[in-house]
Amino acid sequence: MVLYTPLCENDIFPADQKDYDNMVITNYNSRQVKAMKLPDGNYQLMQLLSTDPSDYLHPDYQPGIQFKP
Amino acid sequence: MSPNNDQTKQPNDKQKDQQQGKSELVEKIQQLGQQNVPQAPDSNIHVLPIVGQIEGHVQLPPQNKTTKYEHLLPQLIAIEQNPKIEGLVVLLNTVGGDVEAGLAISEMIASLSKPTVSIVLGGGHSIGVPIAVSTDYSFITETATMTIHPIRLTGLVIGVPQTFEYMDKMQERVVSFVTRNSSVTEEKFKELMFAKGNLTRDIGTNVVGDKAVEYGLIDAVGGVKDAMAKLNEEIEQRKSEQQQVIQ
Repeated sequence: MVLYTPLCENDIFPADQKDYDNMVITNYNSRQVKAMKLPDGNYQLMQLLSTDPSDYLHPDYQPGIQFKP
Repeated sequence: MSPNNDQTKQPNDKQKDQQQGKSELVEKIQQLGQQNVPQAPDSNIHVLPIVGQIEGHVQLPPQNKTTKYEHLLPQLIAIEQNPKIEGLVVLLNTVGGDVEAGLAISEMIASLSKPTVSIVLGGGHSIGVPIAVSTDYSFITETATMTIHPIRLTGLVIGVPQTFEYMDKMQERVVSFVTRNSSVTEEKFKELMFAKGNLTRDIGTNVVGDKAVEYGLIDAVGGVKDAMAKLNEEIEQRKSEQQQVIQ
């Protein structure tokens, strides 16, 4: 299906509330991270929200690692 | 399967240890896509990535990559306040987004007292333009592009004349910020903004690397090396100025 419209996709097909609920902004080792809730109750780090470049080199803050809430 | 495999599968302690180590390694590769990351000492330069879409007052669906102003604004205060931080690098790879959120971030960066440098990497489109010019010195890589176009609105339009006037004023804020913080003239910027025939079925201009420098929008063509050299130079200059004041 091709949809010709000036509206953005989200205005036509709104995202499911469940998608929002799974994504959380949380603190992990006193750093703010965007994380996804996993079925086993743990979190998976999606994005590190830090301005310190050395945080991005720290093995604990690599995207994909899992941590307990 | 060769018959030799049966021999190697015989369990013993050494192999168990190896398997344990292997599964940890496999887990790490699954998590990170790599084994180890290099360690570095604490840095005096902080980095502010402006990625994906700049999110406004409405939260975008989680599959979108977004830059959230409510995270960046406090971080910028922390950068200003922390005496250990001596400089800021802004990395831009954004498609643009909310005008007011973008202007808020730009004004915060422009009013920092510490030396700031920006690099436009893949693209610094739309409201990414004021963010790119808000730093003391701006760089663009040769292949990076910046789309300059008039402000648009998606959503409910109440009254056409009122909406037009409001949008015109909003646009004026963007134009005045960009002309104040870069060497592009208002006429040139507006000319690029309203140019016809550059973007398919739209008005505006897609400015690539050296053209952005030519128009005065960005200070220089360069990448990480140039940006870090410039930032370190500014930090050194700031330090020597401060020492002179003390003396």
